[in-house]
Amino acid sequence: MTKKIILSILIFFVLLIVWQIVEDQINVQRLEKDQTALEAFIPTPLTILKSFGNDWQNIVRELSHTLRKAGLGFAIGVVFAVLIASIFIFIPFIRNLIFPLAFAINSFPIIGFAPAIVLIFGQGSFISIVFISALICYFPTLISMDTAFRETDKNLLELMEVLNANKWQTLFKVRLPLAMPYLFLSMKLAIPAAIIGATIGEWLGARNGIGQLITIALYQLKPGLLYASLISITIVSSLSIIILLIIQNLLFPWKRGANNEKR
Amino acid sequence: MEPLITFKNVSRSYYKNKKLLVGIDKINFKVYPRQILSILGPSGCGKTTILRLICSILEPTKGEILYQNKNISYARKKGLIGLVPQEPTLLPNRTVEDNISLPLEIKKIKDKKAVYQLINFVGLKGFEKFYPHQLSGGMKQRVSIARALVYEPEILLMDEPFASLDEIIRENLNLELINIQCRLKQTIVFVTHNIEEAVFISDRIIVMSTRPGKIIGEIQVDLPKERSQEIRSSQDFFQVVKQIRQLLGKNYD
Repeated sequence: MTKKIILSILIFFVLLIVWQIVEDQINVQRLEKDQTALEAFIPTPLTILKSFGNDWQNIVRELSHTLRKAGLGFAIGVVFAVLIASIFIFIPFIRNLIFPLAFAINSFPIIGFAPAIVLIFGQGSFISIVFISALICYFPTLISMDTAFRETDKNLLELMEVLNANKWQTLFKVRLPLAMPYLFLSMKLAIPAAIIGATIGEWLGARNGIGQLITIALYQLKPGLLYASLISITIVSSLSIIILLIIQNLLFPWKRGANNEKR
Repeated sequence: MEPLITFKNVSRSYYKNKKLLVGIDKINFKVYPRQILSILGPSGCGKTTILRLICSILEPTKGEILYQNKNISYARKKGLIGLVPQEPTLLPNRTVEDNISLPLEIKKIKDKKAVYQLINFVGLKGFEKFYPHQLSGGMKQRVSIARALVYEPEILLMDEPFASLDEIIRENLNLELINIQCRLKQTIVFVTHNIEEAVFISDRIIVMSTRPGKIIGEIQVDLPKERSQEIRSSQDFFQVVKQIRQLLGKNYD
């Protein structure tokens, strides 16, 4: 296992070195003929590293702005999805009314509607970006929670009925605990989506955030900063997924074991 | 003896692919207190339907079911019914003790003494803090039985509880069930498709045929109340098994 990890890290570094060498060569040849070198468009790994060195304070600050918006949007989206899925259980009539619509909306590329949302809530405003993130998280989570609730073990539901349990008890003691693996799965998918959503919202004109930093890097032709920003988003997304995994394992030790047993 | 549960001409039909099918047809039988009654029959004869009717999860289409002389729904409302489903269906996020105390939580009973008594009783001492995925199939089913008994229901309904276990564990659990019943004096309705199992545990057996589900015979098992595994190889035991085989054979073409 550790051998594999070391090997893949090694391959990664080899690729970086190859990238650096090849691009350096191309740039040297280009510079002889023309002053606008390729480096203006694709930075070398060293340039990216240098940008990190110069601008890390900016990157961290803007990233924290973006994360605040994305995090709030994520929380709102997920909480609402769980609430609405629970309401569907209590009042199936509402589910029949709303669910087909939710399913249809889920197949829309919500990112594409970002300009419309920005138009409603104001360009670059905090609310518009939170709203985009929330919307991106909301529909997939709703659909997976709805699936989880509908696939609750029929035998357990019957048992709860025999025990004269009310709907709240069934929700909190049976349906929700059994839906937790589904919830965490959809949260793991939702959190990078929320961050991307916030970034795109910021592209459309924001006063702060990593999306704004990317726009600035783009227009000021700073590929090093651009790549550094993109890489930092990737790192933060991965970290958030890892944090979710850790929380899941802490809260639900049975899930890990159950997986081992089955496969 | 006054019967505890009485089925009077009970039929239950249902729709499948828009066709009306008769699940069980004009069923009459009585369940007597503190006895183990087995309902024996091939798959699809409506055994589980009968249990669901007793739980009042289903309503009969015709006929009536009485608990003493009240409607059967009274029994569930008063918490007199315990159910052991076919699969153990434990909550994976709860330990053994928390799974067993689930009914107490629902009924808002604070006293958890019964949980630990039952854990001892079904032989799970030392496993209180284990999660279901750490238990074997037989142990899970013991937890399921303890969970059904924890609020001391008068009637215990068991739906092929040992069907997914291997023969050896099944035979041991059969004996344990009898011992539990001897001490707690529950009235048990036990659904099974295993003839030996039915004969071994029952005071009385109702034999059913399939499509539509009908009662084709009622057999009194006159084996000694104190049972041991040796009974399984006794002449009397074989006699009853043979009797049931003949009964079932007659109804198969």
